[in-house]
Amino acid sequence: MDGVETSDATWADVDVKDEEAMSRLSWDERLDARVLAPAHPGGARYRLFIVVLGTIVAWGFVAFVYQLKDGLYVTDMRDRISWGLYIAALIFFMGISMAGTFISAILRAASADWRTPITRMAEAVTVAALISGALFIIVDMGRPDRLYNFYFYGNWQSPMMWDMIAITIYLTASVTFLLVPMVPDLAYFRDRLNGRVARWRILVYDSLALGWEGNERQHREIHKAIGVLMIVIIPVAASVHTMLAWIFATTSRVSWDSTILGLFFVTGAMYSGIATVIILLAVVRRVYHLEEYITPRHFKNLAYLMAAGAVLMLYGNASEYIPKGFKMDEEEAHAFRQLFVEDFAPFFWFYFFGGLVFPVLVIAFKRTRTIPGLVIASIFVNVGMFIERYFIVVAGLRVPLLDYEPSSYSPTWVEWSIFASGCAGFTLLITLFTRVFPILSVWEMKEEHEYGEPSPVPVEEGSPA
Amino acid sequence: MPKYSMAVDLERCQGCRACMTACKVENNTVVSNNWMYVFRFEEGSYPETEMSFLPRQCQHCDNAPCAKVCPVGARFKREDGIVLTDSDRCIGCRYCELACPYGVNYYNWQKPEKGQYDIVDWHDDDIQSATGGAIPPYRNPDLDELYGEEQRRTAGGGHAKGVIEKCTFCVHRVEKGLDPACADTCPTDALIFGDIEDPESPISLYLKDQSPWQLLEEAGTKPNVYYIGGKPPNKELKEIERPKATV
Repeated sequence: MDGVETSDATWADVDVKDEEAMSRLSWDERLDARVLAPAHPGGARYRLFIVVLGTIVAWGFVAFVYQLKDGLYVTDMRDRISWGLYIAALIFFMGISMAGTFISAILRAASADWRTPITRMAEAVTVAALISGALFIIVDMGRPDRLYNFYFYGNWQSPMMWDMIAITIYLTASVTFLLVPMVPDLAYFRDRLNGRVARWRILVYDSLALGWEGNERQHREIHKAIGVLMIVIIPVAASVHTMLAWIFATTSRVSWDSTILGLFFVTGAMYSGIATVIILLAVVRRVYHLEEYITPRHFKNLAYLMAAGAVLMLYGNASEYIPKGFKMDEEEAHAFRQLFVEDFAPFFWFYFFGGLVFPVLVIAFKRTRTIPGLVIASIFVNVGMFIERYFIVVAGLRVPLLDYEPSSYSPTWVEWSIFASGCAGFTLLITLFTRVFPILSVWEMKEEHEYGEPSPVPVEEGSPA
Repeated sequence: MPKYSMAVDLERCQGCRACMTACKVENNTVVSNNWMYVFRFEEGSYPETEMSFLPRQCQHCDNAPCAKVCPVGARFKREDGIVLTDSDRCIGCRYCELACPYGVNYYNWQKPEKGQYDIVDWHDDDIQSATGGAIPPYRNPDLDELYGEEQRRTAGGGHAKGVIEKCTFCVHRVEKGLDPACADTCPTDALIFGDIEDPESPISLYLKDQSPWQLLEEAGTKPNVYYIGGKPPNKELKEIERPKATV
């Protein structure tokens, strides 16, 4: 494999928690030990974690069945405010799914060499978030059994149809973008774990490894494939978030009537996506002892990107609210009043100070720019962004178009249960992924270690630098 | 091909809401789903107040935002101008509800027997003796028929859970050459229905010397409901009451 000679059992004999023993291994062997360790059966805490997540997911499923039986009446959505928590969750998870594309594809395209160890996790976040998000479409539908109507009777004029197409393409593209760069690592897992883990897993690795042997031609092909994929996936990801925004921007509701809404959604997606990856990296780094590969440098660089995201969000908000507020027509005045001083003021100001200003401050000061500090900032970013999605949907619907009294909405236990289930499902997917698949891009890291520099563009293999 | 439209003479409307009741009886709609709704507004402060009324049903727009955004073409506009919902095709996404600036879409949030009749225990013996055991006790069979060239189930049917519905201009009556129930019932003839492209139709004759206005004209939806007299709703008007039911 990749010309790396290893005495077969070294990585398996060493306890990854034993730093002393680990430090005696060579760089390659140490990486083997670290990456292959999670593939082994987890301990009691791991099993408990899975059971807890599984229970929350199952509870959400029970709530969904109850909702199917009694109709969406069990939610607090009614005819005035007819979209709520589910749609906010849909936008939120779709936003998180920007992470993989941004960190993996954009940084790849920009030849940012530091991204190598974190790309795999980012790509996994994309797929898990997309699956979790897409399920909220089904949850929000009155007749989920008629989902096939999108295919049989699709109305090309409808922005929702555009979004369905964009989501379908993005799901396909992001699964491909997760699997293709993983091919050499799957072959590596197949070879190293053969006989050590359940047979079905070896079959999965083998079938997904697509006959990878690591020869020169295959190396050339995979670099070419990744090069094409990373360019293709960027516009696809941008289109998903733009279409999602256009679902709102194409209606005549005042709060959504904005030309920058698409751009704003893309920015918000990038912002919360990076925050999610920071949280995940901190957890994975600690749980799987990957301190050597996921370093404070990664957190610092991601934090700077996140700060840039926050600034773009602030800029987006300013360009949205200042020109509109300057004119302040009647509907706008109503929208502003409820957002800034009335019903939604706690939400908005939490988003503003907690979700945008606070993270930037944490990142700005060296003393707070630690890994725990950044994780706290990232949690604030995600909560803030979720709240932002929530008030975009609900406050936008609350502005009456005719002069009737505005309605109110507060999610019921069914909605909260299904939302919690979505979050737990997302975490569960990621957890299982880290247990079954290589969480670092091992072959790329080894390549970089060997040649001393990354190979972001197709290189002629066998000609060491 | 006719083009069906309605004129609403606000000078004649007395806010009795007989049209709302007629609509409910005819279309058998769920509690608080008022396909036809009459706003009652108040202007000024006591004792110098003035009341005004605004019947508001689906405007059957020529440039209907609901039909444009429907992802599966369940909401569509017929050749004769009536905007309808195919309840066999609707997926219940409620996007039409967001897109419509008039707020005339009603979603069936729960099972029809609950939404319509849950106010009474229909399994009660005394009630069963009166209804003959039927639940729901009344259903207009015309609403379940297929209409138009498209032959789609568009008249509202059984108000099935999980689909959207709205005013149909009483398509099942129009197909028989009758006026919609609201126009038929209005005691002051404030609602005039007809083919606006036929210069001899009652609505064309009625609108001839009038200067009608349309609701939210600036939204560019090109509605087919024409208002005469009165004035468009504005911030000076206060809604007197809201529908009480919470479905």
